[in-house]
Amino acid sequence: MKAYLIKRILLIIPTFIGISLVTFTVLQLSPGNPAYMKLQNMEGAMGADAIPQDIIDQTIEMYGFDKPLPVRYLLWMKRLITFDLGDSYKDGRPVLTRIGEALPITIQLNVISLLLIYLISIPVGTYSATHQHTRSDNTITLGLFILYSLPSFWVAMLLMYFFGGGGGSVSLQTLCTTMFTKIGIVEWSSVQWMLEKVLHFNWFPIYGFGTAGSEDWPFWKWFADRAWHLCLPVFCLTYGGFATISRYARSGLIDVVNQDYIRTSRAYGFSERMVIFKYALRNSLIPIITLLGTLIPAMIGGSVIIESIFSIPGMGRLFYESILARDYPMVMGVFSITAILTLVGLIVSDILYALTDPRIKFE
Amino acid sequence: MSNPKTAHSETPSTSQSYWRIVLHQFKRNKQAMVALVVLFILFSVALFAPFIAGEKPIYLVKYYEPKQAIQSDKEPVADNPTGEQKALNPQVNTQDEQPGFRTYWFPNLFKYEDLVDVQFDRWRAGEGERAIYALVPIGPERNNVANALQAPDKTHILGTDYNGRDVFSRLVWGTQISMSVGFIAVSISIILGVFMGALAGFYGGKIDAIILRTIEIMICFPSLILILALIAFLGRSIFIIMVVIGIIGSPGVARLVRGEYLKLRDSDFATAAKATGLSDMRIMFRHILPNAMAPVLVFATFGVAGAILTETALSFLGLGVAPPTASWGEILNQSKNYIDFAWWLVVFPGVAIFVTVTAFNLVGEGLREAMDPKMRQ
Repeated sequence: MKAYLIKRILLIIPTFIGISLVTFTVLQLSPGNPAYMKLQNMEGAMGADAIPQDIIDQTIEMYGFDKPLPVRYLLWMKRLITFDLGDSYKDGRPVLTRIGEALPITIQLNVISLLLIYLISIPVGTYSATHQHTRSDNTITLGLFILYSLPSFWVAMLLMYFFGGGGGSVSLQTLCTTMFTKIGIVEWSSVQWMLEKVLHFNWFPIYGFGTAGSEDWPFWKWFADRAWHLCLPVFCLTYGGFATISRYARSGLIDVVNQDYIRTSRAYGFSERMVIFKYALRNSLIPIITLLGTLIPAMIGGSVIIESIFSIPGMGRLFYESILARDYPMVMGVFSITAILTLVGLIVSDILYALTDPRIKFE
Repeated sequence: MSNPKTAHSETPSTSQSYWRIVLHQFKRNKQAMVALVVLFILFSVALFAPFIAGEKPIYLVKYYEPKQAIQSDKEPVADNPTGEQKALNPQVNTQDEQPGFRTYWFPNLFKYEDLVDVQFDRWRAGEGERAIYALVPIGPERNNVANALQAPDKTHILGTDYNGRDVFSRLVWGTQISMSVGFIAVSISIILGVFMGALAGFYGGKIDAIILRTIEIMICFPSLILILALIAFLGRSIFIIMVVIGIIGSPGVARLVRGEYLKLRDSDFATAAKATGLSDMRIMFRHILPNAMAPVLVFATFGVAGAILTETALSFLGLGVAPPTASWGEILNQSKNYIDFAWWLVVFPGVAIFVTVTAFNLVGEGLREAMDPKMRQ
């Protein structure tokens, strides 16, 4: 176990060098670099918009493009190790400070989503597996399949349209008060009113991470406001992963239930509840933990889309805006930091896997 | 497999019957069969887009009047027995032009020098002229600002966007972009992944360790982030999108193929092939590979769905295909600004993406179940 952990952690070094090489290669394509100039001459269509000369000069100076290749690489490596990623072109503040502001927001979003994903999908998967081939199982399977195929940005747009005040929308407050005033008399006019308004609600804010000035509010009010703002984005980030994990949870449990030791414990006469929850479920959860490794990169990519749709000032939006603004140090900074964070996530999931499954040995 | 001497000469028959079982199982899956039909329709739409939507006619008979300046220099040709043929091939005769009706076949597919693309009026049939148009005679890039943001009606069955372009026409042409990104990207993934996985699984040892490290490095870069970073430096380009989605997808294929090779390299038929003294490359790619391709096929089907999703997401962010080329994500991107009322800009492209992705996923799922011996009944 200890040997495995040590080896796993030592393997970070070659992977980190690999990451530095990939990011360095991408950096070589930035304006001002000889390789970029060559590409530019080769393909006139690429980068059709002219880049201001001062940005090119700044980039050349910052990444030492006037120096030979190995020196450039060492300079880049030094920047990565010391986390000295330079200053943003846009506002002159250090890249690391801006990432430091944006990162907690993205982490908060993704941690909430990950927790929700696992909290919902394990019961759903278990239910589905224990009711295999029944009608409810088939419905769940189909539903998960549809969720899995829905593009998150489209769902976000639909939610904004239907629940964010598009069309002839009505706010939650108006809906409730009208419901209360009309609740006594169930008549056609109130039903008609409901039907007219039923497609468009103004229930959730579609912009930002909290109401302006909410930092000064009392805690519960601040918390409620933030939760309210997070509803739609968290939903969009959650449902895809939820569909994936539920499907894996189902097939994982089915695999375990078919094993000999489960048949033995059934033969002993243990109750079905005990067999499933005490003996089968725990083992079936192990492979799901490794899926964390594939979920994390997908969710970081997903944050770019969701954060820019809902204008949440996290890493994804920062990255997107830096690209539009040609803020190269910022782009390289976010790019490298995401890769390093993903690496950390992968290692954590590997270690969790090793901790939960004693059979794991290092190959 | 053309190797009658060796022990695996029976491989073709067994593999054939294996695929026959898979096909049989697949046919029993109704959802997957429906999805397959949907995919076929989508392919046809992508392939025959110029016949479904576009202002260029399929067949055009137009009165041709040569330019006087050119005509005056040349002396008129007296005897012209093949006049009709020349009219059929208008590009051939540039010297001795005569006024008259000319027939153009498929101007929607080929370029004719005497038909200028830029002028839309050129495609209209005038008096005495004939033309057969595509189903919807509106091009995907035809602006008509007076008609901007129209709700669906008779002429624009799916409405128009902010430039007055027909949404249906753009959806039809967007199919081409999505399909080609999906297929080219996945082909790149498979070629790279199979090569890496085969080397790693077959040789093991140091090669395996190096390739596993490479895979781990590649997994650290979320595909959307890597593509966006490259686009930031190189500008938007459909080729970057295809290549990067392809490269990012390859570790998954490599892992699958590696696993299959680890299983198969010590199997009897591989040992027999080795005993006959065949080269490693031949054993790897001619003998083991056909037996390892089944899971790759499933992965590829899901991969196409994923690649299409990534491309539409990029276009949605405004960093995909460069305008004015039509793309599903780009229409959705516009809808952000008109979300209050322009529901047709939200619903139709979204449905197109959703249906395509679901169809590919269903076919992938069907294949996976058909190949899984545990699922067979």
